[in-house]
Amino acid sequence: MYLSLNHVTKTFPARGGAGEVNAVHDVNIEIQKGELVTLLGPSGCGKTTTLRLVAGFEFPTSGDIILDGKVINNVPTHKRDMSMVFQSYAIFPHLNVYENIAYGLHVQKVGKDEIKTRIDRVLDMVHLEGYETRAPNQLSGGQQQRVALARALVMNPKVLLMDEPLSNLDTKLREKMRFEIRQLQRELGFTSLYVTHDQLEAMVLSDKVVIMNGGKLEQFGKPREIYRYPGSRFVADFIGRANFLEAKVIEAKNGDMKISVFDKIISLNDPYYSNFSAGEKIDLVVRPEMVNVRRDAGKFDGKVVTASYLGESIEYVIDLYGTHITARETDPARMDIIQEGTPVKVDFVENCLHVLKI
Amino acid sequence: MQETEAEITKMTTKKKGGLKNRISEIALIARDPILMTALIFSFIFLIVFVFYPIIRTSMRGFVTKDGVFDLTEFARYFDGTIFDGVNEGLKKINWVVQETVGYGRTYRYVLGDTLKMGCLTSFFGTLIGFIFAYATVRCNVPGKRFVHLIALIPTVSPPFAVAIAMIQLFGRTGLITKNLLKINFTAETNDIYGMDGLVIVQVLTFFTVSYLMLKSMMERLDASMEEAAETLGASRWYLFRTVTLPLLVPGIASSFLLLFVESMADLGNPQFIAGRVTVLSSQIYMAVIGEYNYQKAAALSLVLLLPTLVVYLVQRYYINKRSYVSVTGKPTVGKIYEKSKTIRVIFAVLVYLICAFIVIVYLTIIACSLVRRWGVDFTPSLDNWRTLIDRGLESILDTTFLSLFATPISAVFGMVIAFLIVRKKFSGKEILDFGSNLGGAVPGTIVGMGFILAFNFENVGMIYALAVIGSFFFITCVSKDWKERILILVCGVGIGLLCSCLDDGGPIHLLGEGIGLANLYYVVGAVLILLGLFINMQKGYKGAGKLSIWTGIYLVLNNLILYVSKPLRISGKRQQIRWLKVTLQQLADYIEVPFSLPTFFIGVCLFFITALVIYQYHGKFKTLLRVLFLACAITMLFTGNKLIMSGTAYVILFAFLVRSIPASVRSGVAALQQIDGSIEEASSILGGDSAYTFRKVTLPLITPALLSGLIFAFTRHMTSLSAIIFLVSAKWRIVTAIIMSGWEQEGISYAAVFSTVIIVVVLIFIGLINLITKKILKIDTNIDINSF
Repeated sequence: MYLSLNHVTKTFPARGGAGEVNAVHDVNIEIQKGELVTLLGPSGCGKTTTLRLVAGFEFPTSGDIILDGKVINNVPTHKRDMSMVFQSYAIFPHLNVYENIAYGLHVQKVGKDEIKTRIDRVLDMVHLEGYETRAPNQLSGGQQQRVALARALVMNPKVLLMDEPLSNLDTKLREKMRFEIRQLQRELGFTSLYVTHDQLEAMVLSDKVVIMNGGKLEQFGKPREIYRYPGSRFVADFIGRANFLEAKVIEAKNGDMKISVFDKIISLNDPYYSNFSAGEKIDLVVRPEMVNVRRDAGKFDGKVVTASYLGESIEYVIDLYGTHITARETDPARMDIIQEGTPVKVDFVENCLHVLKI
Repeated sequence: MQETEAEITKMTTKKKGGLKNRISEIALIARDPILMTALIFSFIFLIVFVFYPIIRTSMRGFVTKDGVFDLTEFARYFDGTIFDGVNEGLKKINWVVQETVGYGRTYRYVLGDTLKMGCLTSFFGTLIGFIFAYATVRCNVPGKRFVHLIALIPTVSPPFAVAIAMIQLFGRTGLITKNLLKINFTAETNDIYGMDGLVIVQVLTFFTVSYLMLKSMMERLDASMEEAAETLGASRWYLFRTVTLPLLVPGIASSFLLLFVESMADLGNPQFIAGRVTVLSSQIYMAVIGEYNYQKAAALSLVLLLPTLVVYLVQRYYINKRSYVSVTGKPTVGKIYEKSKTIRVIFAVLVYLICAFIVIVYLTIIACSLVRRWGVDFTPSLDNWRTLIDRGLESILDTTFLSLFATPISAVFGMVIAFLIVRKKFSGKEILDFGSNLGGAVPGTIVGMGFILAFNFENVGMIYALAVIGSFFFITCVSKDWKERILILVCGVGIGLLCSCLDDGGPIHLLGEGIGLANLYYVVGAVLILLGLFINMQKGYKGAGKLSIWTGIYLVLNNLILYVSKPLRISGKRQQIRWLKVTLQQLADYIEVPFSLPTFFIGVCLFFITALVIYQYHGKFKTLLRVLFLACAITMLFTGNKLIMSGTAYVILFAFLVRSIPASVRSGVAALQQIDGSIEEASSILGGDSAYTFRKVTLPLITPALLSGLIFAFTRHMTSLSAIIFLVSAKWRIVTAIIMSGWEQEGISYAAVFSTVIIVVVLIFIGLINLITKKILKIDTNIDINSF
């Protein structure tokens, strides 16, 4: 393991009337060299604190942070050989673009010529050639972001930390930068820890995703794994959207399952579910895109409560035996809206469903 | 999502004793010795120069000059009241050992007058401050910038300038009263002297405090709030009453309280214009200067300190917390102006009238210095200026030099404290914040008194305390191993104590007659230079001993500098031209000052300097080097005068610092709060340690604050009176103190000349700083004299 967090806990002491805060609780993360790992979670979940622990801006109350085989708990920030892209970019306002990027190299007392070559190279990477003498306040948000990235990359850090680097950009630019960062990371192969609250960003960028909630690690895995097999209701609902239906296992044999929901039988076939047993009560996780709403045929009977046209899709809220579930119709051939109040037939795309133990 | 929220609430409300975490916070700062140095040094400074003198003053009031516990001075307040019985009782148990009968009336009158003066001044001062603020912010009066500058003049003038001008205009031989209106005066009835004159003068002197405070508050009022009220159908007056005013209440209250404190602490104006009314500050002054009664002075100081402290605490912890207006935010974008033309005109007229009056007041002072005898003979003449060159040149040079010398120290140290307060997390931050402001908040008289009581005598206890703090810092900083730490401590302190006796042979002539303090400087200096050279010669530590070598050279220069200053002084004495003679002689003094820091202070500094030199050194003889370094610090700490500083330049310098640092800290805090903390973190993760970050990132960003800090500090030094009046000596003379003690004999014109000089010097300094800002640093900023 290149960078690992072993049972890391951070408790902020009570101060100024506020009680003690358990910001990070017993978190374990392991990152291989060259991987980009995302910390994803709602605000206040401890993801930024985790990043700051790795950066050395905070020190863990207990547990170890290990980089390249060495425990770095007590190593101050400036000796950690990492670099960071901040949410606010934190561009030094009194230095121009070139001086900003050269800052860390000056600290290391790198020779003038080498600084020049290295900076030219990163400026080329982030497409900022010709901007060397600009002052930060003459740059657009996107350009500032690139400067921040260049300043971090030029250091060839052991780990590149990024704290919601794209959250201050507009949607289009954000999508563009996502791919650029991903590409740079693939090309240069740097190890990176990336904080975001945007699940799409996490999906696009990461080799692995850490889902955090309330200071605890909820799930750690590849983006596809997390989306397909969320480990908890929280993860299922946080990554994508999910309807939870109470259900019961009727039959279970090596991942071959028959499940009863609303007194109808559904079958699932996936070795992943081999540890369920018959009679067990479960949560059936149904993502909106797995719900087919039809006028004519289907397993369940429901009624359209609301129907919203979203352009690329239609979102229905269906009353299914008293439970409201969300469905999403994405088939371009079915873009005629079923009016609210219409009785409908409903089906699930059965082999894509997911079950959770209660 | 509901679950999540519940989780978060559960998480944040968990309360547990966090002592362990707090200790680990300290350990966290200790990882960065430079940071730790800044922190501990700041605390030592506050303890030695703020808390300790104030505590000394507070305690001295309870002790007679023979050292007996005594409540006389407090009991005197109750003489002639129903508490007489209590006083008798206290006398019986010997808690009151001096006479109290007959004192009650005077004591109570003085206290009553003081409170009356405070209330009136703060009421009218706040009123005028409000008028100025409303006129400049909301009425957009023509010539706003001009009005603003006029309002700032009182802050750059000596604390009795207005009083002088008022006497010259409205006094018994005043220009307006006698020469224009031909009024005949009967003392104490219709002249300017007395409570009425005093209040007018104080209002003019202090209203700026209130103006600046309310101005910044009004600028930060969110315009949309008033607009919201307007859309809801509120009329102008209704809106003002129900929205604007309530939002300003915290500001008005703070201004009232601050003015109250300023007024009570004022010594200059009452001395000039109070006539037969006596206020507490004058009573204290007379007790020290006239009666040499420190017990009385200290007791009365405590009486003065208590209301001040209460007001300060209320303002700081109650009102500021209840403020609706964010003090740190930038001025809001939306501006609304008073729509009614009548109100605008009224405010404009009021403001112009007051401005005109202020201008007249200051012109009078200048005019007065240029005529032969104001009130009697108005012939233009330079006589007063000639007298000044003849008799006052030394004091002007001394004052300017000491003020200049203390200014950069105050500004930089203020920024460092501000940095610690805003950016770092540690227990005791409140104390640092509180202490750094306290020195400026308490009446200057108390600081001055405290300095006499604290630094006139040898104080071994304080030296021991400093030694303990310093050595503890040193060993924790340089070593991680407990055995080595103890070894360093024992050997270092032992050798140090022994060496500290070298100067005069020690208590029982342990080392014979000693080698004299001058030679001890050479010895310690030489040791530091040699150790520095040795470290520099080691592989991989090139340049690491630089700091040690420079410190050594500094110590050696303590004596060597005499070879420069002595000839200068002698050549000065031979000069025939008076001003050249004085200038050369004073210059000789000034050259010596930077190299003659009090020994205890050098000792304290050595703990930190040597720790910074050695903590990263892991080469040959490291333990030995550490022992020797600690020994050097201990030697300097225990040798020499042990905290006695009276009569030196440093007692005045430190008093200046104590008075001016609060303003620097405040301007630094305000500037730092505007800068995103992640900028410093960015520097740190790019490899800069805290010193590098502070130098390369923080300091450049707060340069404007630093420059205005310089201005506040210099102004405060030049114009301070109450804090240094007891500290001046024959060698170190301060203009304000000279005026105070000399104006009754020399006449009011004499005071006017000196005041003019102070104002001119301060204005030149402000001009220079502005020039540097605009022309050299090319910073586009408005430096305001916004010291409150």
